[in-house]
Amino acid sequence: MNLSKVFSKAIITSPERQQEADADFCIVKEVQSGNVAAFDKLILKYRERLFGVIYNLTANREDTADLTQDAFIKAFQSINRFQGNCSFFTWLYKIAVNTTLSHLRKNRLRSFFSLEKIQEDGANAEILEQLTDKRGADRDTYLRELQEKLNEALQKLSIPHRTVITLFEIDDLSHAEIAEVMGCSEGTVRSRLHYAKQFLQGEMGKYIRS
Amino acid sequence: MPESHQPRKVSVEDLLRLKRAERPGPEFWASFEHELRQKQLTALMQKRSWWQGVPQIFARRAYVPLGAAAILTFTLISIKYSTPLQVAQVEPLPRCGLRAKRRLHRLRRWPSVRRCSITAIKRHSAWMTGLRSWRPVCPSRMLAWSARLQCPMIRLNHRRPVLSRPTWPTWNNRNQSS
Repeated sequence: MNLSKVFSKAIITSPERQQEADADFCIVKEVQSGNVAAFDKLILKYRERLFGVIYNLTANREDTADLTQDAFIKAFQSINRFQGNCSFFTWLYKIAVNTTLSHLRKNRLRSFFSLEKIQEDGANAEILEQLTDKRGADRDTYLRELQEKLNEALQKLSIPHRTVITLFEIDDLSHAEIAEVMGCSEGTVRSRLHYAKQFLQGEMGKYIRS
Repeated sequence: MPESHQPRKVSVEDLLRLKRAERPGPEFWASFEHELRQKQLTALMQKRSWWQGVPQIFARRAYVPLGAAAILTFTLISIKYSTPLQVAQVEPLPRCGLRAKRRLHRLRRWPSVRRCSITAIKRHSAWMTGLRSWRPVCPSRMLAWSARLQCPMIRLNHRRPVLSRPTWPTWNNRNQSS
């Protein structure tokens, strides 16, 4: 086992993630040996997570769909180059984030929101309950407004800051994993995260009940 | 008021967690899969040009061997086309006697030679006398000859000649001294 593989193992901290990475590597080996259909398993497994990351970076559902597809196609085209030096999902995230960042840089001036509806399930219901006492149409309007304000605040952040906070808070990646995806140090990730949270706190002060 | 009825603090993290719930419905995934399948097939059918693979070759672990090969090639080319290094060989000066030394120091009092070092005068005189015998040469004659013969010493030791031409009193002095 070479040094980079040892290092990548160190990045994946939890045993669940390790198991997941090992399972992914088996599927990747299958695809590399010629079983193209095995790639569908990876698409099914990661499409929602990848969509989530890209959606929170672009705040546009049409662009997100295209970029997610592009990321999967790029991963599929270069799957033979994947040698297991890092986990598959980190590699896939890296492709997706780079694709999105280059798209955002190209279309810096063209930005408009097209948002998904918030799915109210168990985990979110409690937060939503805390946020609003209203019911019916008022509640929906309030939620829509909150969603728009949150997206506006996120879009005001610079691309690296937005990427870090999206990967950490929304996608639950560790500092080390974000550092690997973004190609920067963990210290940079922490400082960006701190700045982004402070900024959002300032922007969303009206909605944060303290 | 009991603690359970108090409103819980809502933080930025809570708001961001709400973003996880912004998900598309199942009908979206059906069309997504269909489009992705088409793109995948197109990607499979597309034949990649040879030049598209070039950056990948460089991106792999070829940095060290390629760098070493480039350095080696550069070294070989530079060895082949470079001329051998020529070291200037200066012939040793013949030893001079006490009388010649005195004459040399007298010569240095001359205003035209004052700025020249003793070694430069020695070398110049040796060059003028063809290294057969070392004798200090009159500076005015030295300068006149060197200007005519383009002495390498003058060019090496001084950017510009100290004096361009001798003066008549210099000649007279020389005649008196000899």
